[in-house]
Amino acid sequence: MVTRKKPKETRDRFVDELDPILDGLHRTSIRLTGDAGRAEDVLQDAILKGYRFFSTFQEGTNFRAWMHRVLYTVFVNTTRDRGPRASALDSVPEPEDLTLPLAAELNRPTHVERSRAVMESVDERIKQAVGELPDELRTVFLLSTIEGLKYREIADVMGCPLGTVMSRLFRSRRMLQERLTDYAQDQGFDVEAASYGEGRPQGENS
Amino acid sequence: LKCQEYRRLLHPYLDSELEVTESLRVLEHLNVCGSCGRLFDAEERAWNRVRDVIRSEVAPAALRQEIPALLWREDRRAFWRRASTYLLPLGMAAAFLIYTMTPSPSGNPPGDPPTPEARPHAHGAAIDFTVAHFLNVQADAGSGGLITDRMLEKHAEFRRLDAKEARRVYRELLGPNAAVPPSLKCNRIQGAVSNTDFNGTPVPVLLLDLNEQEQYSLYVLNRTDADLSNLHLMPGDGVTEDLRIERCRSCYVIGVTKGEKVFILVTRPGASVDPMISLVRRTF
Repeated sequence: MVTRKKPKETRDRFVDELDPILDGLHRTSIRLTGDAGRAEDVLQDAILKGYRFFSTFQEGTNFRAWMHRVLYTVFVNTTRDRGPRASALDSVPEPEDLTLPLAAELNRPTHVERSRAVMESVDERIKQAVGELPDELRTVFLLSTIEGLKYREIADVMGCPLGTVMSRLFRSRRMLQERLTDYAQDQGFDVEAASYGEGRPQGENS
Repeated sequence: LKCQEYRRLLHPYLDSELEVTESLRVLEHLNVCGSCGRLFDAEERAWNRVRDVIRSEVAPAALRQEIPALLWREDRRAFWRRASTYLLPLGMAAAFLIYTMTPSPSGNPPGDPPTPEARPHAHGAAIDFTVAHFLNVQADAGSGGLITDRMLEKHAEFRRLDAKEARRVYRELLGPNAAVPPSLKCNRIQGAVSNTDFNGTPVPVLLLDLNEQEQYSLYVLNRTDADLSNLHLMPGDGVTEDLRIERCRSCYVIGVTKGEKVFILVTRPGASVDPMISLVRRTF
């Protein structure tokens, strides 16, 4: 016999499941949309949609992956409504203004303050570099490296083959590495470029 | 494997996507190959750093606090969505029934379709009483439901007749030789409606089942109590010298005059009176 759980009970269970992954969903939403206001709208829609379909979530499976799939679906649907976001890396101008605050911060008198300023600047550059990745690469990178989803789960979230996930992940990391290496070298850091090897993962032709 | 091939496994290894045996082989290699060991360490540290930076961002506290209320509002919306699916039609049906049950100032059931003629749609107090009674009973029975004793009793005084007495009244009404046709069951002669409009004369009520689905109420009036000329009925089918069948063009009432008796048949609002006329022609 099918029994309907009481709303309060379901609500509490959903909140319990959601609480530990809310930060991750918020981060992903911010990175997907590139806009804090819209990120919150997308996240709220995803939470409501997830709650509405919570009965279809199979206990024992990965709720984090399930909710990311909901979030990604909401994001894709709203993006389709609004028109595509510029996603090509080349179309994003190199941010010059970051170096200016950095230079200003470096003029601070104490060593501790200078170190913190450098680190904060690097942090900002990392965030910016991730944000500048093309949509598909950024999504795969976030879900894998940041949120710790398995490749198979990411393929499920994005509705694409496993090989495509691996390929996109490889490309996103290489792109990020190039960007951050360039930046580090510009800032005078001693950077040894890592070598991945020449091959690329199978699964995507482009 | 050569170093180059191990390095292809760098990301799957760091992402814990390798099989256990593959991971062990990579680990073994990293233990003996300083170059690969340094590369893997550097990669791990770099991506951990990126992860830490991005993960330092947390959801706004206000959003976290808002979630229970957000879900509660969603539950409330869902409740009203469900309610509108089920309750709205029920509410509309109830409103319609209340509307049709409420007598208009003219004494005419207000739920009737508009009359094609300009004259007011009324059949007179005696007929309207029978119609109102039937509508009340029908409302209790609901759409497609069968009328029960309890429903009839609820809206009028009743004197129950046993089966033998019922047959006697039936023959008295329809003639001494009248027999209940097999296809037309006289469900039961339930009793009589008391109404001062009939000068205190009990009005026999018959329930006629045309078939399993259609059920009509037949009210038998004395000619003196119900003048068909006052009924605004139009000549219908089956008019003969001793049997006049007249129908209301606007509603679900037909009048039948046979001798000194006037029969009023009422069917459900909106139903066609044609089967009822056929029934009358076969019966009388």
